[in-house]
Amino acid sequence: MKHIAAMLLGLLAVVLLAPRLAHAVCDQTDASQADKDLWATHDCWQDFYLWQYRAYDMHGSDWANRGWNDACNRNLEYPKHWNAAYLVTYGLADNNDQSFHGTIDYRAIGEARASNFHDHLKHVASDDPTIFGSYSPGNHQIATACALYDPTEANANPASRGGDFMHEGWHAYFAKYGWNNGDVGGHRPTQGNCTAKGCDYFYFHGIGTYAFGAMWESDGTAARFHSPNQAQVEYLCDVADQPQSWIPNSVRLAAENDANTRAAERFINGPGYRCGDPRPW
Amino acid sequence: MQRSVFKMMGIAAALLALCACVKTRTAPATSDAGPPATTAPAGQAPRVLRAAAGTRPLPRLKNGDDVTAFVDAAGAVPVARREELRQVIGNARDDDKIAQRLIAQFEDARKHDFSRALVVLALLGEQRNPTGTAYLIKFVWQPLPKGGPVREELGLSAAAEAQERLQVKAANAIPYARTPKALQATLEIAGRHPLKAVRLEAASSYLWNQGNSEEARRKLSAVLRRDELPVLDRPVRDAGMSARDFNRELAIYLKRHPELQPPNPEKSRQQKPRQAVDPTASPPPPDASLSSGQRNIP
Repeated sequence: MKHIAAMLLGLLAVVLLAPRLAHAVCDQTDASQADKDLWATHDCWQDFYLWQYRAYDMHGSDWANRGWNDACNRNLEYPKHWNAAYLVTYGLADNNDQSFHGTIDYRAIGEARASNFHDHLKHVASDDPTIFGSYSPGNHQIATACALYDPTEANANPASRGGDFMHEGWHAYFAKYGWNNGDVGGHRPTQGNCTAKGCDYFYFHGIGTYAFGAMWESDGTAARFHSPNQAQVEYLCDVADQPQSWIPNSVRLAAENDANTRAAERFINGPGYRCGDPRPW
Repeated sequence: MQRSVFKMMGIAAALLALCACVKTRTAPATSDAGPPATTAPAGQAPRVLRAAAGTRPLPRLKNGDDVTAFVDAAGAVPVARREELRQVIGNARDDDKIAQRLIAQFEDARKHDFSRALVVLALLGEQRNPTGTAYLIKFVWQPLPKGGPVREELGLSAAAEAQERLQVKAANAIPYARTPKALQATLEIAGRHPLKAVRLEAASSYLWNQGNSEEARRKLSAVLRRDELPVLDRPVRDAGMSARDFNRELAIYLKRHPELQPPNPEKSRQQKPRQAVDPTASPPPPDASLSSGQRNIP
């Protein structure tokens, strides 16, 4: 009798456990309003994602059960990933008088192609609940985690997701050129004006200091340099303050909120820049 | 004998379950080897959809019953139409029922959609209704939720981080009411709130809403922590500001606060050979918004 029970238990495990574990941990039931609003501006542009998966070196084996074969289902991780890439690719106005950097910079940071910004990299997904994303120098992988996909999360919007491409892509930049930014997940321990666990310096620079496409340049001093959180804040502020005219307001608001909070608490010599003026809408 | 057969069958079934799990995690279906796919029909071109959003009538906001539909539509309104939307919500300033419905929308949204909750807070701030402002002042002091896995970099749980970020927005929205009560509440937030990001946002927003006046600086100087005083001089990249003007303000800021100068970056001990640069990749699909990537350096 005991053994029959063991067998039934095993069969039950086959039926119940296997399909459950086959799915990702991320919340796949919905998308954030910002994701939906941006999605509505392209309504699943198939030419774009058929370009994007190659540009970001993404593979079905890494995104199985996350929308690889359901690429127009905006509730799933892969469609959310390419929604963020769409914002990076087309969403910035590249204003000569105001933008910190240009689309050409932000695309090069996020995309896979080996360039002056970083060695060749690929994008994978992660279920790790303790991170937003990560860069692994050993296999050159940028992993984006559920914190960037689950709609209850503060960073589960296309602007913040793209901001994470910048952050992790800048770790890849550091790996390419051998810069040491500390041992706390590639950052420095809490100190100075930084209240987070992983801190950076903010290397202030004016508008026009860098030509579009030249963000990777450094003279090896603090006068011409960026940190990962700074690259992220500058991207988010460019989305918030210098977007294309058709960008939905929910995306702009999410970018501004992420940047301003990050600027306040992630920098040893902070605060970093605040995006735009403080009018609520 | 019969017992051992059943036992073996039980073990085999359990192993089968384990294999099935491992297989589905590590060996994708054949179709996963190809490009991403969909069965959905192709939609309209982005340029058509964007053009439609640019001319679509704004949602009406005549009474509390309009609020849900208004919030649904407001987030999607393009940034080019910010002023139009500001006017619609500003016209509802004296409508308490609309403020109450916005508060209800916020309370609901914060449970399941952070970005929608952020949209509602921005609308509450822009409305400047006393009921809405009173709610924001109450919300901004709510303690952060405890428990849950902590994010490595920030040291907060997901729920705590979301609430912090919403409180940052609330601190931004409160002083836009520009009433003595709202401004005094903002000063208190700037001085006493436990979260640095909330304090700094309150200070920046207070200053801007008071026209960057000397009086506002004096009041903030009296309440801000010493290491947060630089926020009073931080340049703000206003719409329409030239690069030259921003750079001048930045230079003044850095001269006034030499303590903000970071040290030079350091190289790692281990240097690895750099990979070659990949050949130029194919360009993204053409679109009117695709940048040429040019900048004129002054």
